[in-house]
Formats: sequence, C-alpha cells, structure tokens
Amino acid sequence: MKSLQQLTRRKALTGLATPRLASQTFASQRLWQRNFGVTASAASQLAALDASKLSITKTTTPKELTPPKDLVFGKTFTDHMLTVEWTATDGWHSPQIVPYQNLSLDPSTCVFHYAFECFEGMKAYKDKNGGTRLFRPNKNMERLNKSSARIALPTFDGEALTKLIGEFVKVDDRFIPDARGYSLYLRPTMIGTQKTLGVGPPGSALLFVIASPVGPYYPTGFKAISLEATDYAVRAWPGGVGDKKLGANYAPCILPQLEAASRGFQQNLWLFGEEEYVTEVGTMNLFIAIKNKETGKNELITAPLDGTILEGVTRDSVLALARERLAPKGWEISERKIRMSDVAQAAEEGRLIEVFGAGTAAIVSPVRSISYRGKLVDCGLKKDEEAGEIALQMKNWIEGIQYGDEAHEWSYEI
Amino acid sequence: MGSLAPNVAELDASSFKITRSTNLRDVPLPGSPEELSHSYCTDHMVTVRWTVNNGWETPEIKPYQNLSIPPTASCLHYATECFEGMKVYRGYDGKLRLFRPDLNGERLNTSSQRSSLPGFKFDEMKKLVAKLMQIDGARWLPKERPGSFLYIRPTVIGNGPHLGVQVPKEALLFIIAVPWPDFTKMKKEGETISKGLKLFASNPDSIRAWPGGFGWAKLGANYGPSLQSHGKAQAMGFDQILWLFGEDRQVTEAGASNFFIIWHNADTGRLELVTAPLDSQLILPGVTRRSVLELVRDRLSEQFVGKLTPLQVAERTLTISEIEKAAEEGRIVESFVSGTAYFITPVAMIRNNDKDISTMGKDGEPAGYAAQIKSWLEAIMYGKEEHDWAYLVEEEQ
Repeated sequence: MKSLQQLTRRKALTGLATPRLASQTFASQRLWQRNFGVTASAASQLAALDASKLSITKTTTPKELTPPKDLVFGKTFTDHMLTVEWTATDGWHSPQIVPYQNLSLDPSTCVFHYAFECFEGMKAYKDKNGGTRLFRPNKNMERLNKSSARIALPTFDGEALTKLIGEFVKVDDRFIPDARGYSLYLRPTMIGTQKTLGVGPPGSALLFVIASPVGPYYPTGFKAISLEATDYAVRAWPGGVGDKKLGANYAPCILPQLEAASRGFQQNLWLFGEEEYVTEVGTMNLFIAIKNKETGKNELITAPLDGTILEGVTRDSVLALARERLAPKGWEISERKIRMSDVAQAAEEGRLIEVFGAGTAAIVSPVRSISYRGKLVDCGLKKDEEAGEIALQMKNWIEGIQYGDEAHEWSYEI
Repeated sequence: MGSLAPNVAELDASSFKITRSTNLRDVPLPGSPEELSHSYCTDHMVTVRWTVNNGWETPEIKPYQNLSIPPTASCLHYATECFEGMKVYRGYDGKLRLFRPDLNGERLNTSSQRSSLPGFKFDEMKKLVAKLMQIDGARWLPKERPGSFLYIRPTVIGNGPHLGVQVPKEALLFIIAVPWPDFTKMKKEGETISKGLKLFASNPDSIRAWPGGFGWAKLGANYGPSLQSHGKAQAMGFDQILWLFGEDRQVTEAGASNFFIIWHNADTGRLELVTAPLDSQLILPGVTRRSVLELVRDRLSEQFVGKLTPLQVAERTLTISEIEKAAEEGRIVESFVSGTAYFITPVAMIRNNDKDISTMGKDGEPAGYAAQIKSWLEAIMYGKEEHDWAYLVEEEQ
C-alpha cells in the first residue's frame, strides 16, 4: 500500500504549480527520491561505479615532457583523462581513459548555469623505489561523495574510483617527476550535464579526472605570507555549504583575494561573525600555535568543523600527527573557535608562537603577519626565518609519509 | 569591490559575424515534451569570447551548437558563472519586444564582475539579444501567436586551458533562447487550479545568503546549493522555499522569486505593500520586483483602481512572525511572488515549522492586486500600452 507521504509527493511531482516539475520524467522523480531520501530503493537498482569495466584508448600524439623546473601549477596536463558518465536511468556507465580533450557540452547544460559541480585535489608521488603512491585517497573519496550529494549529483563507490585513479596514474606515469617536492596533481571533478534551464536535480552527470605534474610549492624554500583579516566579505556561513568542496565556494572568493592583493597581502584571512572568529585562509585551513594564557601550556589551535570549515585532508593529518607526536611533548591540540582579537592579544603579549595554513598544494604555508584593524599582527617568525618549527616539522612528517620514506597506513601504493 | 576590466576591447554589438543555420529545427508546439524540456533552443545562439589580452571579440551569431570546453575551464571547477533570465514577447500588434532589457544588462555586468568575470557596457547586451531575435523571432514567435513569449538566457562563464583559483584568463558570453511552457495556458480538463503557491519557510539549518556574501548577484553559486531545501519542500507538496534569515527569521525571497505581502499595518491600520529591502544585500534585485514597486507607487498609491484601495509601498525588513500575527488578526489582504519565470503568482499559504499561515484575504480569495499589476505589466510587454519599458526588436522581413 502506498503511504500518504508517497501519494502526496507524487501529486506534487506531477502538479503544474511550478515550471520545472511539470517536465519531470519518471527518471527524475526517482532523482528527487534519491536526493531527498523518502525511499532509497529506486537508486540501489542502478549500476554502481565498476572499475573492472575500464576501457583505455591511448593517445596517438604523446606530449613532450615539460622540464621539471619549468612546471607551473595547473598549466600542463598529461596525455589522458579519466571519464565516467552517469545517468539517472542507468547509473554509472563504463569508465574510460581517453586522450586529454575538450568536453562538448550543450549551452543549456546545467553546470554552466546553476553551479552543479564539485571537485577534489590530491596528488600522486614517486617513492625511492620508483613506485607511485597516493596520500589518504579514501579521505578525498569520502569528501567528494559528501560534496556531490549536497549538490544533488550522484555518489559512487570510493574504492572503485581510487582504483580507477590508480590505473589512470599508471597510464601517465612518465609525467610524474621523480624528485622530492614534485608530484602529479590530480583533479577529480563532478559536473551536472543535463540539458535544461529548469532548476532541478541533474538527470545526468560526468565524473572526470585530469592530472597536472607540479613542482614544489616553494621552489626556493619557504616564503612566509602576509594575510589580510577580512570582515567585509564572507566565505561561508552557518546553514551554507562552506564545509563542502563545491565550485560555488570558490568564484565568490576571487574578488576579495584581488582586493587583498592590491594592498600587498597574499591571502584573505576569513573572519566570521561579530566575534570575528578566525576560520580559514584563502583556500587553506589555518593553524595557530600559542602559549595559552590560562594553562600556560603550548596549544595548537584550528577552527572546529562546525559546517563553515572545509574538512581538509591536510588539516586532519596535521591534527592526527600533532596528537600523536606533539601532545606527548606537552602540547594541547584544540579544535576550537578563536577570535581574531585573541590572536592579536597573544601576539602583543609575546604568546603567539606561529601561524600556518594547511592544504594539499603547499602542505603548510607559514604566515608572517596579519593585517587587522589597521595594524600588523606579527605571527612570531624571526626576521630571517620563513617558517616556524611546527610548520617545518609537519611538512617533513607529511612528506615523509607521502613519498614513502616512512611506512604509514596513510600512504596508498598504486 | 571595483571592476576588473583591463584596458582592452569593450563589448561592442554594432557588428556581428553571422553564420546562418542551414538546418532549421521544427518549432515545438505549446505543451509538447520538447517545450517542457526547457532546453529545446532556437536555431541560433550568440557567443562573444573574451580574453585577458584582447578583451571582447566580435560577437558571433551561429547555429545553435555544443560548446567545446577544456576540462580545466574555470566554470567547471570554481563556478565562475552568472546569468540572466529575460523574455521576448510577441505583441498583439505583431511586434517583438523586450522588457526593460538594460536592467538585465546592468545586473549581468554586476554579477559578472562579482564572480571575477569581465564587465561590459551594460546597454550592449540588449543589442545582442535583439540581433538573435531579429533572426529567430519570426519562426519561433510567429505573428499568428500574439501573446506568446520565448525565454532568453544570457550567460557568462569562465573558461581557459589552465587550472587555478584565480581570475579566468578567458570567458565566454553566450545567449540562447528557448520556448518556455506558459502554465497559465495549460489548464487541463476538470483540474482545479489552486488559488496560489504553497511556500515552505526554510529551517535555520539552511540559509540561502549571508551579509557580505553574494545573494544579491545572479551567480550560479546561489542556485545549485539551494536545491536540496527546494527538493525537500517539493517532496512535501510545496511549490517553493520561502528563505528566512537571522534570529528574527526575516522573510527574504521565495525560491527564485521576490516575495510581496499586502496587509493592514498593525500600527497605522493603513494598507501597505511590503517586500524585503535591497540594502541588506541578501536578495536578488529582481527586474519584475522593481517594476511592481514602480507601478504601484505610480498608479496605486493615491487613487482607487476599480475596487482596489490605494496602497503605501514599504521596502523594509519583515519577519515570519509579523506575517503570522497579521494572519491571526485578519490583516492580510493578498500575497504574491514576482520573477521572470514566475511572473506574478499569488501565494496561498506559508508553512512555518508546523504552522500553516494563510496568506489570502479574509474570504480566502486574492484581493485582485496581483492580477491588476500583472495585467499592467502584460499590457506593456505585449504592446497594448505604449511605454518606455518596452524595447522594440526590428525583425528581418
């Protein structure tokens, strides 16, 4: 027997009250159910992402390799790309590795209009034995699934995509520079591909992965950055989507970044609310090391995952390593809110030890100063110093695991 | 935040590169599956490429076709994209008209710059739209069907062969036109048309826009993320979300349209038309919203129109509890939403938490203000009334 709820929904779906819904097909009715979860059974009958169905079409015009020293982030790409189509009627189609190429998309494709898109950033590294490794790929898969579900795009089996990415990396293995600090940046991306100007859950999607060889973020050693504490623009808010890796979180932040740059600051330090809580820096999570006034102990602080903070893989790794290796040395590790005024006060009282950003691109990015209320808050680095001890330590620990020097469960061998 | 426009070529719609389609498509019938797909576009499209080095290139009119987009394109990763919604109308005098197209041009220019895309001279956009309609208007909006319209979608997207969160070095402005179902003309046999929309007031865990954000610009980034709440509301039988904001639960906008309520002011007893203000930067400055306010100020604020009592216009913060109280005290006269896609549609009720608030007048009928405003707007759009809001499109013979 159909429940009342089902009947009500059906009526709503076939009603003429809104432009979009009148055009819903049966497949897209299932979409509403998939995305808004009244019954989940329909979705489970669709084909799952299956790595064993992979087909590979190799390029006939292999690219010349760029000399490692000339590599610029996001500028050169490998010979191939991984693509998997999804449709609401069939689920995941067979994965393909094809020559790197443009996408052919109808102008009414929903990704162009309503930002139905999300992505990941991850890297493949060469270890000392010539093997290739990923770093905590399960975390990226988990996050991409969360992002995708939030924006009404399909979810997938994370292990299957990790396997497929492994196959893709193997095909383009020659592009990974074999030197410390170098890697192959991987960009898994999900876009809605349905042709329609009606705002509704996309009935088709494309998952693709492209790869770009990259050099060290700081080729000549660390260079500490200066931040502008930003209160006139917000990156994220409660009840928003700042904790997901959606395209929608990025475009609106470019203009404030230019504003900060025009005043000589490399990044925005995003403050939130009347309390001016410190949230993120540019597109990285932020860590602050202070000597706590009350406990007298050293404390490493980052903002808690309250829905406005991106769940960074590097953030999580820094926290885990700090708990394992710094806590025994007397450090307190805190995920808590901290006001910008408290950071400024700690600096004034000589209690600010160091500040750094954490993200996939640079691992850590040391901060020299923060412009706040017309003053420069000194973040604890000496004049001739470009990185603090904790940042340096974290970079070495994480790199050691990424490049396989230290055997660790976070490192995934392809 | 200022313009990013460097010192390069401006957008210039005085000359076009035109490639005609040799394979004209069948025009879909009203109510056909093609029309209902919201994607069966006309024979041609406008594209204008922009590069950081050269600025805007010569606009092109070409057969409707797929875009070839590099997988690195900024719009696919970082949502550097914005759009407009407007319509072209076939008048009862046989002429084609746009409605206040410069307001769309201005807003697209603002949205584009807010999403780090290039700006342009706002009044060029209407010429691009007009050129497209000059060519496709005759077949797609035939003179034999006065009173019909096409939906026009100008879009700007960030493009380019490199990846990185930065100002796109390439962008594409494109304009497509699509037949759009006119639901007011699609009443089925025996079906009772509901008297108005049912709105579902958003929960505090889902917020559309924030001060210092971009809710006031027509960015793609405002749409995809709002779908989840919208879908939940539709699954429960509601038409739209009514987006609330803040601890006092301010009423901001409804789905992709602006919200209006007509009531007797609790203090003065005077009849007023209330809608959320633009200065909080939370809501989209709708072209229809602005037109409603201007028409009411001009035509309905002092004298009676038929049986309709004059109204005071108030753009001010209003809360859901004010609406609830007004309903309890029997002070609500009518409520409606406005937008290009929705046009002017009465609102029958709002569900806030578990409480249903009727937003109709005492007798459960709309008082007729929405209908009057709608008919004024239609008269301008379809050429029954000469008005400087209408922009005539000269067609090819």
